[in-house]
Amino acid sequence: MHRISDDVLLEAYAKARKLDLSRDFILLIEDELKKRALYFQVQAH
Amino acid sequence: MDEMCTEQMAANETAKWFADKAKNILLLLDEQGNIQYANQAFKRLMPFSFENCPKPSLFHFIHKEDREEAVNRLLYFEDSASFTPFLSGFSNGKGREGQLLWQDAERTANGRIQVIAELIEEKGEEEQKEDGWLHFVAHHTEDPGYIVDLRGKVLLVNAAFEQVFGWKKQEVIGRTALLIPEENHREWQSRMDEVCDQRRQVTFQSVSKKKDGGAFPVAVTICPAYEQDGDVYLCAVFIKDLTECLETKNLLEKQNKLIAERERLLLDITENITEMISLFDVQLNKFLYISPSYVQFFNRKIEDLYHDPEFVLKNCHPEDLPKLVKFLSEPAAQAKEIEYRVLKDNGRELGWIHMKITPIADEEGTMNRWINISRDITELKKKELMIRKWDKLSAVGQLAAGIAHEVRNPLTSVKGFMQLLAQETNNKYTDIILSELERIEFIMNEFLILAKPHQAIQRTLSNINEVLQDVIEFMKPEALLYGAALHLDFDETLPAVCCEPKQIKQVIINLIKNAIDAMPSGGNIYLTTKLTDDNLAMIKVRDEGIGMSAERLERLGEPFYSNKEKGTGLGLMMCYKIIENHQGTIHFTSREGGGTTVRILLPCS
Repeated sequence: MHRISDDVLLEAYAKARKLDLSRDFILLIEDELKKRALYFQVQAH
Repeated sequence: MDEMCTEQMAANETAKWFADKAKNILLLLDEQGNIQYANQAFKRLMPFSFENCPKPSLFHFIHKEDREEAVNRLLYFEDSASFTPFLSGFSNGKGREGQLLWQDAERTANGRIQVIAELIEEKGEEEQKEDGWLHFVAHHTEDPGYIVDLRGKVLLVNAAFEQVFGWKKQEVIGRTALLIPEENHREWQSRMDEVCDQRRQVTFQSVSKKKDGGAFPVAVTICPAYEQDGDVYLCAVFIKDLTECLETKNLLEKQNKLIAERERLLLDITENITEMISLFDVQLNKFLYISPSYVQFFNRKIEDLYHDPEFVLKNCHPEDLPKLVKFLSEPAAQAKEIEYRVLKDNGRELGWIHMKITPIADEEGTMNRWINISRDITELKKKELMIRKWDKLSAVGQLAAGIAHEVRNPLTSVKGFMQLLAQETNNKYTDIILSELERIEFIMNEFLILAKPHQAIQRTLSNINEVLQDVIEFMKPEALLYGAALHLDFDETLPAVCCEPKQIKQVIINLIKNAIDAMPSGGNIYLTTKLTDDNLAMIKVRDEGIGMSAERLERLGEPFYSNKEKGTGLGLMMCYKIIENHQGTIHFTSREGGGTTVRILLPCS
């Protein structure tokens, strides 16, 4: 997960939410977003 | 003076008259034993005219063997009071013989001796011949014997009588009932009457007494002697000392009782212990003893087992047969042991036996017999197997914990991105990849359950019937899909069970899924709950599926061992683990083509 760029990570998060993919997958991305301090951007949207 | 002489003469005449009329023998002897006077009773015994002979010595007429005693007793007694009656043989030298009982004697003022005797047995030659048997039985038998007349007066005794009873013959001759204790008089008399009345020999057991007063048990035989007209006139009595017989008998009885007690004890042990005990004769190739526990174990009649000396081999598991045959065929001087599997109930059930055979040597040292002590160790083996399973479960659990932590996050990530990729590319292979990923995820989830520590289980008091009801509602659609009908029989009195309902549900779902898989053409699944006598909640799941062989049954629960094509071999392992964590047990019974039954026992709260 850490090899993915910020943009791809944000895009993947958005699509996962939209497609209602597994809760574990979404939580995994959220954790990575928090590590990169990107989670506030997601919350802003 | 003349008058006095006349009176004296008259008295003498009178005395002589009485003396001649007396039945007893009356004699007057001088100091050397010559007969000075003899009455008619004695004269009649003489073959010559007594009056015309010089006065003979009495002792000429006494048997040689009795002569010395007769001289001593008749001539040298001190006074009348010290005289004791005695018996001596009599012979007139011309064929008349008999026994004289010297009853009394007294010394006169001028030193002569006057004696009274009774002829108690007189025999002529013919008579002696006829009564020879009486003499024979009296003197030629080893047992004490004597002859009595019908009044019970003793006429003759033999040497054995004197030895055993301690009386001399002269002490008992002419007397009655000396040797019979007072309390037995009536019994002896009634037996004597029986002999006389029924004219036959009688034998009975009684008590007799010796001269010293000592009583002892005897067997008495009374034989009648008949007169020419058939009446009984004498009886020969034989006495057998039963003291030794009774002592021997008592000893034997005690020994027999002891042996019987020991036999009973051994029998109690062998008949009631669970170990199977048998005694086998190698030369005869047959069982000499088979304990009832064999009947219980092999479920066969004891007669069948005796008639089938190879039943042990016949019931042995084919894979263990060669080693058992080798074990039994190799001669051994010492005890040896073996463990082998047996097929019980026509191969439907697998059992384990631990056999120990001990050879027994005969007198020549040949090992012809074996004692075989076999023990049913099936439960022990099951426990061992269970422990091995738990060990495997524990190892797998630890492994699973590591795998789960390391693999689960990457797996979730891969699966998620694959789903995104599938949305964007609509590639036909993504479905396959996703399907395989889901299987990996499923296995990981089962690993996680196995890895879950005991402490993490959140238990609550739950109604098992309600837990099962939830499972059934959940599983009904799948069951219907595969043509399986669920039948419920719940014990409404079942107490609450302390458990984690989700885990119990997981177990039951697994079992129902297995049952559905075991019935490809559909069938019935029976779910039952029951409170056992041991206060355990029992959940029973029974199907009518294809069942399993004993070998497969034995391996159930092993990690990664599955009977199903798509099975992971973790489902039942997980069931074992969950039930173990609930301090319960899970037990499978099955036979090929006959369905499978699973019994879960959980402790009630």
